[in-house]
Amino acid sequence: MINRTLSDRIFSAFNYIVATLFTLICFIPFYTMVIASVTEKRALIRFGYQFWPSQFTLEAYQWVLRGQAVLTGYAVTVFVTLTGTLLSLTLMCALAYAMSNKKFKPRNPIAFYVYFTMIFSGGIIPWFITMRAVGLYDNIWALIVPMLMNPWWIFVLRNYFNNLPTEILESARIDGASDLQILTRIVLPLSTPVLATTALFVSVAYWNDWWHGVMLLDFADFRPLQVIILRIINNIRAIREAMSVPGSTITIDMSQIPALSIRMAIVVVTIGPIILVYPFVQRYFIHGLTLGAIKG
Amino acid sequence: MSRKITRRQMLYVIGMGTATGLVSACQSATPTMAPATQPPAATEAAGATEAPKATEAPQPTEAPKTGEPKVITYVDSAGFGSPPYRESQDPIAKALSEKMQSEGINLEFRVMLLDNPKEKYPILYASGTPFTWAFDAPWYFMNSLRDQGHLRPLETYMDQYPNIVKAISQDVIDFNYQLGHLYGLPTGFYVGGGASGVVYRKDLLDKYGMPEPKNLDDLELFLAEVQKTEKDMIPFGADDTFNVGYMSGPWRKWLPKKHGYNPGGAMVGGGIDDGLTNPPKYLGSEDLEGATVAYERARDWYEKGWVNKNVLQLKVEQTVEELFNPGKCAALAYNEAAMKAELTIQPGLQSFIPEGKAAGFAVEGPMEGATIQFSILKQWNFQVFNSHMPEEDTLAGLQFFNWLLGSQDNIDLYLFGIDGTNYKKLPDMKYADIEGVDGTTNYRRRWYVAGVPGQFERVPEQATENFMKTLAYITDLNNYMPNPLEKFEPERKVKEAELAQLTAASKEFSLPLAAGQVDVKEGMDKLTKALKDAKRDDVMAEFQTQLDKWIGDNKSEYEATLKKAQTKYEDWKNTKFAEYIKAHPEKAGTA
Amino acid sequence: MAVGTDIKLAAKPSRSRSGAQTFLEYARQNWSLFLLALPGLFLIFMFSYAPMFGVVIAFEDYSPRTMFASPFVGLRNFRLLFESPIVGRLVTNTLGLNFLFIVATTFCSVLIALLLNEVRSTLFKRVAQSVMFLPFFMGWTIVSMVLFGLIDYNVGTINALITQLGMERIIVTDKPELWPWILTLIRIWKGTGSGCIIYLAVLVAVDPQLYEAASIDGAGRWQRMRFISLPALVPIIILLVLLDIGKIFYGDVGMIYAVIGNQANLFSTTDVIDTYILRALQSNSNYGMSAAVGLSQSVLGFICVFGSNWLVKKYSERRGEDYRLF
Repeated sequence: MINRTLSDRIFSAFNYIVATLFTLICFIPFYTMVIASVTEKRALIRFGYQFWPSQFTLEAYQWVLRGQAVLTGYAVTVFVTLTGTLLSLTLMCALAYAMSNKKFKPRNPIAFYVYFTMIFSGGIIPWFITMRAVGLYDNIWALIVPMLMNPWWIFVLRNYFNNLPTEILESARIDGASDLQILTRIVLPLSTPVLATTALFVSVAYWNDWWHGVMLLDFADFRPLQVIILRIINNIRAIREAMSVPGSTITIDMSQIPALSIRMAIVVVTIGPIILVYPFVQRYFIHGLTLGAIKG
Repeated sequence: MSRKITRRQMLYVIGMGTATGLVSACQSATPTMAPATQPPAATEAAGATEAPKATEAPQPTEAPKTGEPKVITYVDSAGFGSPPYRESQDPIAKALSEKMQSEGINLEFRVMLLDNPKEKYPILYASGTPFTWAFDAPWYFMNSLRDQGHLRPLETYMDQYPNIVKAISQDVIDFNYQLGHLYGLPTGFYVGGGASGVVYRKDLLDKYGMPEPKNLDDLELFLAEVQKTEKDMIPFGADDTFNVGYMSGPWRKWLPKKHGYNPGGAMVGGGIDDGLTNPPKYLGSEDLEGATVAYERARDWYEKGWVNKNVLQLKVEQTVEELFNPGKCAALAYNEAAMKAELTIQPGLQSFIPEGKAAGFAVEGPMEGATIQFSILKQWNFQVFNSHMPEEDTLAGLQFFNWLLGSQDNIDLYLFGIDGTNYKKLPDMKYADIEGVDGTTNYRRRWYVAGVPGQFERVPEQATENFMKTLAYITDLNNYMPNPLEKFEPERKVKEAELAQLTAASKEFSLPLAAGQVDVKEGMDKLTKALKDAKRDDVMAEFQTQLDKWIGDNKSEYEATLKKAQTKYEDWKNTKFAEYIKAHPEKAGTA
Repeated sequence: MAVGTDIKLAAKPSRSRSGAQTFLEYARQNWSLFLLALPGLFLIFMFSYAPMFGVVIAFEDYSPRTMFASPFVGLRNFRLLFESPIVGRLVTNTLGLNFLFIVATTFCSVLIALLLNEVRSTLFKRVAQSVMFLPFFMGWTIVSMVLFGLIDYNVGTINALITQLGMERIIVTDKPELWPWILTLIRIWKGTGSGCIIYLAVLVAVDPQLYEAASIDGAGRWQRMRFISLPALVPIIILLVLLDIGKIFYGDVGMIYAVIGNQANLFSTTDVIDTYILRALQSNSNYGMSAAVGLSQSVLGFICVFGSNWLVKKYSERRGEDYRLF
């Protein structure tokens, strides 16, 4: 008995030490990044990354957040993320449930059909042509629809559904529940941890997506946040390039632009909202619904 | 279940609310979007006002109804100094259209901004997206787009647009045919190559009481002094582009008997040797005379500790902003250093070190008489026209350029924006920035990306005398030899895969050489082996055949130009170079 | 939301009497499952299969005038990769790095998930897990800035420490043999916090009664982790590794380009197929050739995944389970 508690204690101590160390390793670079974003530009270049800003300034944030564009960008991104995540989760769950159903004969060919798209793609030109052909160009759905089905998460969902206790599903079926009812009343409530995980990553993918905004929006005058941020970075780079290429007589003083802190501030600005929402999602996979509770 | 649905519905409602908010925000955010002139059926605004609904893709170049202006669309590959913001671009586009229409040219100028030009730009062609013209260049996508048939040949239209021909000059147009066609409007100005130079800390130089360096040998004395005197300072800051190798890389220019010449930038890992005295012949880079000069210097500096150790890890902007400006290095390589040191680098340096002073010199020292170069009439930058559009679209685009290049006022509007808002017009082709206008969002279009020959761009009021002198020198054909091979350009499609492999191999092994990170002998052996493995010699043999054929086909013109070049060379040797040798006796026998 | 109504309509016919299943009923049930699957399958078709006709450009001298009916050139476009003098090195580096990445990130994510699962303090668990997730959001450019802030020769923290200890500075960027390990460490740092979430999600669903029963039988926490938690993760580990294997011929170009960039002296151990192609086609853009390379990577990855799927099938059949991908 004493032995067991001792080994348990050692185990527990080991747990805490490893987890704390890794947490610190993850935290310190992030912390220095946040500090860099509020350090005066010249101090940052002169002294490098610091643990406390030698000269505090919010200049970089003023730079990133100035103008209406960023606010509009936030609105676009929030809409895209919410709508996209919701639709995506609905569609993926429906498909994954069908794929997990042992009664569903074509489930393996379908799994193959889904998986195939993970490896093979036709390339960017036919993709672009298809997008234009179906009208996913220069409108907000172009940011949502192409990302709805993600094979990776379909498989994760299928696997999770696969491992649910078959007895519960079977008894529901015997009670005359339809597939839709089984999915919404039994499978989904039992799967909150994986649903939360999927929702988290799908929404982060929508939130961070700049690719569709760049490729599929040309004349529309709204842009998601990431594209607006890309423009800030592009613009700074363009001015720098223009300074060094032959033939240019650009007279902008680059040292007035806090280029380095802007990069850091951008990370903070984009992930800020995610960090705020995160704890609400986190509880589902830190201590989610347990199977026992439902069984009992 | 019901609880779930309510939550879902709630999210949906939030989503829709956001959409509405977004739409109204879009409308209020960009009041300048609505064009004052009658827009054609599908406008840019359409996408936004009906955002949540799927709308038709706008057809920016669709056929106009009678009386309505024809829309011409310019693809701005944001990334060359014009701000990628509609708020910056649209007022000028509108002003240009209005001015054009008031002068009887019924066109509407529209700009398509690309946020990710390097990927998006070539796809526009490949996917058949409508637009009229774009900026492009042989160092960008022009060669491959041309080979794939995306660019419209313009030679047959030039007669109809006298202003274009007059501004660009018949000479420049003649020299910029590629494979028998004119694939874009060249943007001519400089006729001298070799823009590379060195920017250094003049205040330190004065402190040491040293004379101004005029070439790299002089500079070495300065660097040695910096290493001795300044603790914690790297004498020479370098990055993956601007390093010691960059300043006299063997491929960059064709100086008599010194470097290989590479027509069209087509060859990788080799160049044409001499050409002035012997029949032109492609040689591998290792066999070109002086091929290793730059690498040896790079290695020497690196070993002496004059250069930072992380050369290839840094990017261009970092050397200036993170090493030179804060006083961590005392010199660096830069384009047009003599012109730009005072104009563009000095302010940054002084923001860290108030007493700091930057000065520069051109590495080759053309003005001093140390070398003479071949003139370069083949241009680096072009305006190319989309061959997938109907012919009248290209004609409308050319009509725009004909109008634009017909008056300095039009050019000023196109390059600088509105006088009094974006810039202040000064006499003598100078301009001033307006106090309080944010330079990063202020409208500008650089001449070399805008298709306007450089002499029509105003110069900043701060431009120094040195700047103006250098500018005058490098734009005067009389200071250079005509290049007898300049009109030749090899057809590269036959060796596409090999050229791609060569590009990869060359980059891998020449970058460390240029940075000085590897022993020159060892590095050159590795480079040569990698190039040979990638079938460099096959490609060279193919290009040699093409070159011989070209010389055969153009014999009289080739020989006449060669004669002129030889005369010019002898002339230079007996006058300017002789004077230079008198001042630098140690350099005797270098020409 | 249109999907929801589809589902409801589809669900109706199967809402019939309970009891023995007639054939008709079986078909109806399949029908509703089909309808559930259909919207997703359609979208996948639209956005993944419809553009797949584009693979033909790998065999063509592509020109947009003739589009996908451009002249057929056979395997000419494949020469860029397969006739490259360094194709051996590229394949070795790509496979080697990806193998390291898959093993390291899977191991670390599972380990951290198991450890966090055993931590009693909810607050600690939540805070630690949130903080570990942060690196996931840092782009590769920023990661590379932070990395060189550490290891840079002139200004790096590590070299500053080394000189304080009176030793010679190290030029890390001169030692290609170190870089596969450095890249792996970065991958672990960036991916563990996000990777462990999915394992945590599986672990919270493990029936607590199992743990209780084990406790009563005298199992310590280590044993419970070893014999209950870990086996619960096996199916998902197999799935995720299988999914990764399909991409094993694709180099992580985003990371390698941002971190290695133009440091050519490190290419011998870090140059992968994708970075090579990026470098080779930088000034020679050619869609036919890039399509050919992509197709080769896909086919090779597909063969690997087919093989491993078969192995998994054999393995799981012996255990009376079904872990295969398809």
